[in-house]
Amino acid sequence: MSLSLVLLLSSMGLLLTGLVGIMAKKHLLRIALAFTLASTGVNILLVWTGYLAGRKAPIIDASIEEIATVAVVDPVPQALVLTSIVIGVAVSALLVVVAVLTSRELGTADVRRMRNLKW
Amino acid sequence: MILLSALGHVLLLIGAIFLCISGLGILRMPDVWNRMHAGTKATTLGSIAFMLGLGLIRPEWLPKLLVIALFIVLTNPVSSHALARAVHGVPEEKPDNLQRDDLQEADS
Amino acid sequence: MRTFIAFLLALYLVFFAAAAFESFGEPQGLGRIAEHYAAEGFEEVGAINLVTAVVVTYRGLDTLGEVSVLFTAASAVILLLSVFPLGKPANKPSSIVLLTMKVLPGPILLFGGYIIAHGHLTPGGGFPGGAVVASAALLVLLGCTQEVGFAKWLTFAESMAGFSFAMLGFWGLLKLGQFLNNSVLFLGIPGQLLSAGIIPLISAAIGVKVASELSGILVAYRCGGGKE
Repeated sequence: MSLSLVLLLSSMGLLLTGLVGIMAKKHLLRIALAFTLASTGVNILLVWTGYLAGRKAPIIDASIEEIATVAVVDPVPQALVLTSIVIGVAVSALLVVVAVLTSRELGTADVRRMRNLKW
Repeated sequence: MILLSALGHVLLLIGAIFLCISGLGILRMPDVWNRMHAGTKATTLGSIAFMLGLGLIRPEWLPKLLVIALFIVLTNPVSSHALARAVHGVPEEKPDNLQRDDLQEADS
Repeated sequence: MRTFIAFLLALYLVFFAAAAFESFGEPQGLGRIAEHYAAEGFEEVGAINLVTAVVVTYRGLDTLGEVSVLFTAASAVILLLSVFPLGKPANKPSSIVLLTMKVLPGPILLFGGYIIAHGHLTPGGGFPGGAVVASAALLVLLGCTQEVGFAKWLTFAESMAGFSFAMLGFWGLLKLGQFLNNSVLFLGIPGQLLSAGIIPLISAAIGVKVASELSGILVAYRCGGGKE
C-alpha cells in the first residue's frame, strides 16, 4: 500500500464523512464541524495531486541543486494548501458565529425546528 | 542503535494506542467532563510518546521534538483547564449526581 | 434512514470525484510550470524554499487575492459580532491561566517571528507564522477580563500590512515593469537569512496581516466586536 494511495483514501474518507455530516446532522455546530472535516479532506486531496513517490519536499539545498526537477515534489499545490488552511480557519470562525447567532435568535440549534425558514 | 530504534517504534505504538483510546472516549463518554478528560489527558500522553519515539528513531531531530513536547506539556493542560472553567459556567452542563462544587462561589 | 440516504448521495459525489482524478492517471513527473519553478526558481528568486517562492512571488497576485478573502471573512465575523454581541465572559480567569498568560506569549511570539523570518529557508512563511502569533494573542485574551490594549492597534497593523504588500508589488512594476518582481532588492547568497530579494519583506507583511486578522476574530469573540 503506497503512501499516495493512503493520501487518496484518507482524503476521500474525510470528504465522505464531512458530506454525510453536512447532509444528515441536525445540530448547527455539528454541521460546522462536518464542514471543516470536508475542507480538510479537500486539502489532503490537493496535496495528493502534487505528490510524487520517492521525492523530497520542495526545498532546494546543495545535495539536490543540480537534479532539482527530478528530486522534488510539485510545489504549486502545497502553496495553494498553505493559504487555504488559514482561510479555512477564518471561514469556520464565521460559520460558528452564524450558527451561534442563529440558534440564539430562533431559540434552538436544531435545524428541524427552524420552521420560519421554510417556504 | 537497533535497540533505540525498536524502543522508538514501541513508543510510537503506545502513542497511537493512547490517541485511539482518546478518540474512542470522546465518542463514547456521557457528558462534557468525561469527554474532556478523555480528550485532553490521553492526547497529552500520546503526543509526548509520539515525540519521544520519533526522537529515538531519528536522533538528529531529538532537540526539536523535545521542545515541541515541552510546549505540549505547558499548553495542553492549561487549555483544558480553561475549557473546563468555561463549561463550569454553563448551568445546563451541570451533572445530576454532583455532590460537592468548590467552584460555585468563583462563578457567581 | 436519513443518514443512509445522505451516505449514498455523498458516496456518489465522492466516487464521481475519485473517477475524475483516476482519469488523470498516476503523475509521472512535474508539470511544465512546476518544472520551471524547480529548475529556474533557485536562480530567479534566490529562495531555497520553493513553496514560499511560489506563494510570495510567482503567484503573489493570487496570494493578494487570498489575503483579501481572509480579510472579508474576518470583517464579516467582526461586523456580525459588533451588531449582535455575544455578551461578557462569565467568570474570572483562574490563577493558572493568569500565570500562563504572563509566561508563555513571549516564547510563542518569538517562535512565530522565527517562522515568518525564515520563510524563504525552511517550511513556513507568513501564513503559518501569523497563525502562531495569533495563538499568542489568544492566550492573552484568555486571561483578560476587560478591554485589551492591543485591540485598537489591530486595524492599523492590518491595513498597513496590506498597503505595504501592494506597495512592494508596485515597486517592482515601476522599477522593472513587472508586478511583484523579486529582483528589485539584491538577491544575495541563497541560504542566508538576508537574501531572496523582497520575499522576507512580503512574508513579514503577510504574517502581520494574518496575525492581526485572526486576533481580530478572537477579540471579537471575547469582547463582542471591540467597540461598544
